[in-house]
Amino acid sequence: MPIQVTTAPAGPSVSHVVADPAYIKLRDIIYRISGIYHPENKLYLLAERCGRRMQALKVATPAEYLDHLTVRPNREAELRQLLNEITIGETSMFRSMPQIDALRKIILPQIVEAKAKLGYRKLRLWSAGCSTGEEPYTLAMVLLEEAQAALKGWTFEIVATDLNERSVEASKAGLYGDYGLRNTPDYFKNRYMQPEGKTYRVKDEVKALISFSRLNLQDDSKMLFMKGMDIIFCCNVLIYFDGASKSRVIHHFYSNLLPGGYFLLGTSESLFQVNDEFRLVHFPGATAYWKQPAATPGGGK
Amino acid sequence: MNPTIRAELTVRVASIESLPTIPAAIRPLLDLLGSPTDDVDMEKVVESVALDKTIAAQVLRVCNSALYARTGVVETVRGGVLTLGLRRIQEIVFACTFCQSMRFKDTSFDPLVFWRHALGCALVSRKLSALIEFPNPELAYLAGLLHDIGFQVNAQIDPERWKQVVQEALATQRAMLDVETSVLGYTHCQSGRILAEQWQLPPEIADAIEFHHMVDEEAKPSDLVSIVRIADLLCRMRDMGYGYYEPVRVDLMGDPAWAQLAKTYKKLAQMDLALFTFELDALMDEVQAMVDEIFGVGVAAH
Repeated sequence: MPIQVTTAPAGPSVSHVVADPAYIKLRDIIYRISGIYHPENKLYLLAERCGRRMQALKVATPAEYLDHLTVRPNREAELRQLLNEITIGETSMFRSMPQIDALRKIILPQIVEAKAKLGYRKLRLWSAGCSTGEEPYTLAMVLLEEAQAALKGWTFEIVATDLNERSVEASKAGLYGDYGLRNTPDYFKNRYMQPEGKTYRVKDEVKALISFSRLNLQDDSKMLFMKGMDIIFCCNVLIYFDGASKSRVIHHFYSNLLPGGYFLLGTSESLFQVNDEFRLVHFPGATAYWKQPAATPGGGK
Repeated sequence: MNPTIRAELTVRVASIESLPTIPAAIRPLLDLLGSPTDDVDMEKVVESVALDKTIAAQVLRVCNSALYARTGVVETVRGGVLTLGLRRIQEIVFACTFCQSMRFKDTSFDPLVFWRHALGCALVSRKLSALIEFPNPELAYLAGLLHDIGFQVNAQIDPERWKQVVQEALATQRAMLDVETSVLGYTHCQSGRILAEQWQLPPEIADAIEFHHMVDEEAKPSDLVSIVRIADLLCRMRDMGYGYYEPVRVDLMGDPAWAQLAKTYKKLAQMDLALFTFELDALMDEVQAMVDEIFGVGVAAH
């Protein structure tokens, strides 16, 4: 699911410590290793997340915590813990509205126009690292809406994969509480979900669009079989991969996309120095990586 | 520019009753654009800014705001130059002066939105200039600040039709430039250029105003025009646009402005554009604070 590092509430206790230059160093390390960036005005979020780890380690200052991430023997394990803190609990449906708006208002119309010219009326989307299903269900609901307008007469399929078997099972159940639905507009909740006690269950017509399965993105042989995608979402999943594995996985995504297709990351994630095949493009409030039609022989827009 | 449009706009701009003249305070600062800081007669700059009481008060207010907060209060323009540096004061004076000068009564386009975009573009132009080592970041700042000044001119030339332009752009989410062309028959690029000439702004600034939407391979855009164009597009994609959703995809690296800059500035190829983009979100807070600060003074004075 798109994970933004932008909307969690500021803890009053952390705002005054953000000025500590150690947080700038921490921010830069996290960007270099994971590709997730915290701009100056969102450093308080990073401070909050580091604060939780500092408490767990009984570390008093951010400078001391920086040591835990850079020079201590267990630094790699600690980095993973911190990345978990940064992304934990951020998953929800309709997490990034600018990304969804870009999908509906710009990306889909562009792809639909290009494919219609070639006589294709089928779309294939992939939610890679779908966690507990919030992202693919969001995409399915958006496509069902568009099916009444721009996508009338089109067929579409969403492939949703995750490494974790339990996440895949939870995804299939499609049961969400208030927290997972906190960004979901009432319209979508009422139209595509039904209340079940204190939770909501995704309706079967939405589930029918999605095929869930377990997939390890580092399994090269399986990655070769994910061809023919128009749009791939992979939000805050790659942050745990080292440089070489990340490059390999991104290259697979690139190969699996049709020419003119889009690859979308979390809202503050970057592919800088990881891949130079994709072209970074901008939409209002969102960025995406584009596979240029001319870049692939025989590919038409 | 088409000579008929030029002739017509020249007459119309000259006949605007409330057309502001460039305040004397800004002349020495315009003159020092591009000259090494060491050559600048600082006393002359301080004197001219201090003479204009409204501008001086605004400059001090911005100097003392959270944006530039230093230890100790800045009480004089001279003090501001000493603590913030001449270049920073120059920027603050430009922003304050032009916001103040162009405070027209225009109910159709929110002035806060307009100046946030202008100031955002100024800061992004400067930031990009510094990153790629364009030799005159201050000129880029001023060009960014003034690139859309033609909107303000249009609002004066023909308020009724301008209102129609804004309403139509908002309703259809089309680009302002397209709507101007169909409704007015001229654009903010053209009317802005006429104003820049009447104000005797540096010719590079007038070019940036006229050509920031018309960058193509054949036009051979100047580096300054290219910088302003990229800054303009980025601002519109990062919530510092015209206040409405523009359903467009911006492919900066595929833009002729990018290609133009890449010819001269090798650093562009190494630039982390994603990071540059994310950093703009923090810049937006700065822009908002500065515009609010400048207009806060105005609101209190009205």
